[in-house]
Amino acid sequence: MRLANPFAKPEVSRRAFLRGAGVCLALPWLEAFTGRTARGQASTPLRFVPIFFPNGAAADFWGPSGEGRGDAWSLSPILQPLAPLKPKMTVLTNVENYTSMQDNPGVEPSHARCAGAFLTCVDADLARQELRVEVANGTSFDQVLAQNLPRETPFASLQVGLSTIESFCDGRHCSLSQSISWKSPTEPLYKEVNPQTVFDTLVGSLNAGGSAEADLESQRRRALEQSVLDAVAESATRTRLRLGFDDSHRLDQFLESVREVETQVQNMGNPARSSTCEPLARPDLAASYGLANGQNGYHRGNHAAVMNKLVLLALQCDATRIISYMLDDARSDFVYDHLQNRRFDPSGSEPDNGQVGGYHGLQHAGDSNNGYATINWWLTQQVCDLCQMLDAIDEGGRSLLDNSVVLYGSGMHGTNHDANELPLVLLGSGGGRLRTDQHIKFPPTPNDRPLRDLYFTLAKEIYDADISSFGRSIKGANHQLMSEILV
Amino acid sequence: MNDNARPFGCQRQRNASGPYHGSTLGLLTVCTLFAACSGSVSRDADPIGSRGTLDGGVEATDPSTTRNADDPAQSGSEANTTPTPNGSNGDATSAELTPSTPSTDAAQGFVRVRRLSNREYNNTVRDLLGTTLTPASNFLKETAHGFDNIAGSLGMTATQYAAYFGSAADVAKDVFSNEKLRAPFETCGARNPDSACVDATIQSFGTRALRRPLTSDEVRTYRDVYDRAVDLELSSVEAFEQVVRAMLSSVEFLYRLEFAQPATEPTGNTQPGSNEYELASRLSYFLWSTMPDAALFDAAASGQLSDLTGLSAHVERMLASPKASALVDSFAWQWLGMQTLESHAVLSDSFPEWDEPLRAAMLGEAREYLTHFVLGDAAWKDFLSADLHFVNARLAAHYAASNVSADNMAFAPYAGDTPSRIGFMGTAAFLTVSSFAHRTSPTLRAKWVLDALLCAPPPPPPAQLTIPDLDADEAANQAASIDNVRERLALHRSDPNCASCHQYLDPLGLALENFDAIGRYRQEYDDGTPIDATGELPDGTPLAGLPDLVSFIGKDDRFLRCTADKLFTYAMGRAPTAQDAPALADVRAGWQAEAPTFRRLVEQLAVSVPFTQRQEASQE
Repeated sequence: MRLANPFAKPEVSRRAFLRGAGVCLALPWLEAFTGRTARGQASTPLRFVPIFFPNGAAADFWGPSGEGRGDAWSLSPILQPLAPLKPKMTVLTNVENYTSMQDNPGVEPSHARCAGAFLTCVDADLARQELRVEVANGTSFDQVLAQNLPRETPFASLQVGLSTIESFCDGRHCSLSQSISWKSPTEPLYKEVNPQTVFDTLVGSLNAGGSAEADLESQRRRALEQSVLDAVAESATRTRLRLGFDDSHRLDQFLESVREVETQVQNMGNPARSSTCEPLARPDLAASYGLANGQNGYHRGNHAAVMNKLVLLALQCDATRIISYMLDDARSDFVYDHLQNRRFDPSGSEPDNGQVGGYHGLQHAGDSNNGYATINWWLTQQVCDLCQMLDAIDEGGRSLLDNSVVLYGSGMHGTNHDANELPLVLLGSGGGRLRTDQHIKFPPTPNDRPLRDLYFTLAKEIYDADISSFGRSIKGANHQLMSEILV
Repeated sequence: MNDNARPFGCQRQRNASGPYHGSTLGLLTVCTLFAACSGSVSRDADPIGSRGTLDGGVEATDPSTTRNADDPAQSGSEANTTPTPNGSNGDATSAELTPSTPSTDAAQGFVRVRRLSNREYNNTVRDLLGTTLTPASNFLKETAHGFDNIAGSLGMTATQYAAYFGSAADVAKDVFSNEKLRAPFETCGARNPDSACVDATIQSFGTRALRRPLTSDEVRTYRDVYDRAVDLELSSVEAFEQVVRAMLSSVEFLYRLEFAQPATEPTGNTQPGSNEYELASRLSYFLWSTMPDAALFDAAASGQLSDLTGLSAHVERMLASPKASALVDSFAWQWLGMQTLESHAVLSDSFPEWDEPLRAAMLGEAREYLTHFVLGDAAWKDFLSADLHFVNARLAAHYAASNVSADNMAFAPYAGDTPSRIGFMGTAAFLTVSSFAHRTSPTLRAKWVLDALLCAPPPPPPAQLTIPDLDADEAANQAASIDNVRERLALHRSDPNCASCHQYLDPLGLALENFDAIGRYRQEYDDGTPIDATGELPDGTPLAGLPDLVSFIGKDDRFLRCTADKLFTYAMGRAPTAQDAPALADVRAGWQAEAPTFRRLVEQLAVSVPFTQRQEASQE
């Protein structure tokens, strides 16, 4: 690179540039910690991290025994990987999200609808009929938070996941199977599954700048990007007028996306909001993530480990405070053959023989199926790994996990595909406002508690978000505060 | 309307009076009709693509999204609802709503706004610029109706646009770092080039990039990009790199747009020939999955596509081009689920023989077989029944074919060795991709037959029905092979909830039981019990093995209709609606009148009214 000339032609690609920037943001741990403390009395950021898993859980091994707090309850076989975090979690039993099924008799509550409703509490089928567009749902709770809370981070939210490029749909539009976050009722926010892309996005946003030459170079790079985006927007605006009425909304969608990318480009020039980041190398695509060939050369375990680190990086660096994380697509029949079967009984599980098969096929093999439970158990392990990393970060008396609400759960119960008795776990205490180490058992159906009440309660009591309602209830019930989860 | 006139795929009536609690009534009504109702075109107007794919599992479709476009009971109720999915407690409206067909799908003719599919994007940047990069291989997939090019399904979110924006820069960089590829942009000289030369270069490249001549406004927009880059001390060639990058980032490149009104130039003249350029793009993306070539652009510019003779001549020319292999690699590949085989998992515990060379051999045969029928002179009616397969050495061994001398790599046709293995459903590729990772699934195979070949997907299992575990007493459910699938399914059918559909599904799927989950011929299960591939449909039709299954489907006129419907969906970027029925009938009549090869169907569709006409704008 001809660095002598501040306007030398950029010979490295945009991505390579970001890669270089990654080195700059790495700081030693102590210094990072000091930086945080030096910020004084700034209010501690609260995070929200919904972690979705598909296909429900093997119900015979999911539910904890006992109820209440502390010693009154103990972890179930599938949840046993979370033992180190038991004091920091709450399991919810008998929470329902009936929204998505009950007014459609004779129809199996499908994976796509249940996944679509997981963070929206809206039946996507109904939304599509009402809105008369192909792609529809409700705005998801993570986005309601992102839109209602003051924006203090480079990204309002992030969406990540672990499926492969050859991922799963469920008969409906793939947005319902492949994303759980919806910016609006017609805008799915697809998750990013490529760790390198997540890394580049994060590092780009956090670039704190380097030498004067690099600054000038990056200024010119941004000027060129701005010029390209100006041309794109100018041309699309003109083109929009030549299209018929029916089609102009598609151009509106395009222009909106261009504007968002423009904002990101502009953000890249701003100094980092936080310097509390730990070093992380750019993920090695070949080793961690077999993009092209589905299972061929791909290792789900490596993928999860890398993605967990990226989620940690994003939260620790305060690149965003809201991350939705899909551990797999709805109705995934991904073959978890990197796992060895475990044999489950009510007291726990132990290694057994044979490879685990396709997730969805095993779901249909029953609520006591060992392969099904093994996948659930392994996914729980990944959540535990992430949460332990979050818990290791001290934010001045509380850990990052303490300052978060991690919601680990599925949109469907188990083998029966129903949307009641959802498997749901809360981790972290939302900055000390959530009561932990408890198993809350609400009354069974039909007196069970709606999932939308959980979100409503989190919004009002944890995040102080000003909303009056969230999602829908087919029972027609008003919101009820889920006070059981609160301190 | 009369239920008996509807195809199976649309027997999706619901009991509106209350929740369904697992009574057999609803399902019996649904399932007993399907074999008998072959009287109408599949007019599935579902815009989302409720068609199941082969990506695993047994219940890919959902009744509530599959509707009959010509059913007045379903289409008349859509007007009076308010969009409130996220408003406060919108509970009250829920109960009264009935499914309706979104208005966007009711239109006729060609879809006017259609983003390039990932495949089309890769092919287009290759043909436009000569790059070998394939950035869209990492883009999000948005499949609907089983295809990756459905207009209504191809959206644009900020995440997606960021990927396009980044990829435009990468492609431009790749091209401009290659001396040969950037040559067209060096004709104006390196410094202080003639202004007219810059504009001319923008116009000539832009005509190919945007697939039509640029308006003077558009030339000026890209000239601004060029000038700005020069202001930032970039050379002329480097400035053109930014122009290319801008065009590749534009909506006019990323989408195929068809305008309601022609552009008006400052002179007052309208831009000539815009319809012709749009038709050229329709043809090239349908037949080639890429941008028009020089001959097609010339034809558009000189008005050759406006009459049937000129149009037909170009269709014929294009089908003879190697680029027509896109009809195999894209259309047939997706329709018949072959892309799923590329990532299909087989458990090595169950099939230690499975390896990548075997997968490659299966894919190789599929490509040969499909090319033979899609682009060759073979009659389409023989697609399912031909005594013809293509094997290399590995596949010959896999098929236990003794009378063929195949070498390691090349595929040789063979016939007559194993009479039970005929037609497409006899290929290991199909038999594998329609199985689970550890065993065959007669249900999955039957569902595939109904869905892909007859356009009549079965409904999913009813709500609140616990599906019996076919693998239940296998040791610890370790995904071991089931010893005898047939016996397990018989137990399954003893439940009337299941029997109503499985009495149809099981005979279809069990007819293929002589082929294991990686397509090997077998006569007994692993436990030594003999395979019985016979069965009887509820109407008494006996089915014994693959030949009977093939003959049963071959006699069903839904097979040819379904073939035409699938091609229509792929070509138009939307599913056929009731309004398309007459045109589709014409296409089929023209197809069957003479030389009923698949090519002939393609030719008929390419000159059909829906394909060549413009979609009418709504009066809203």
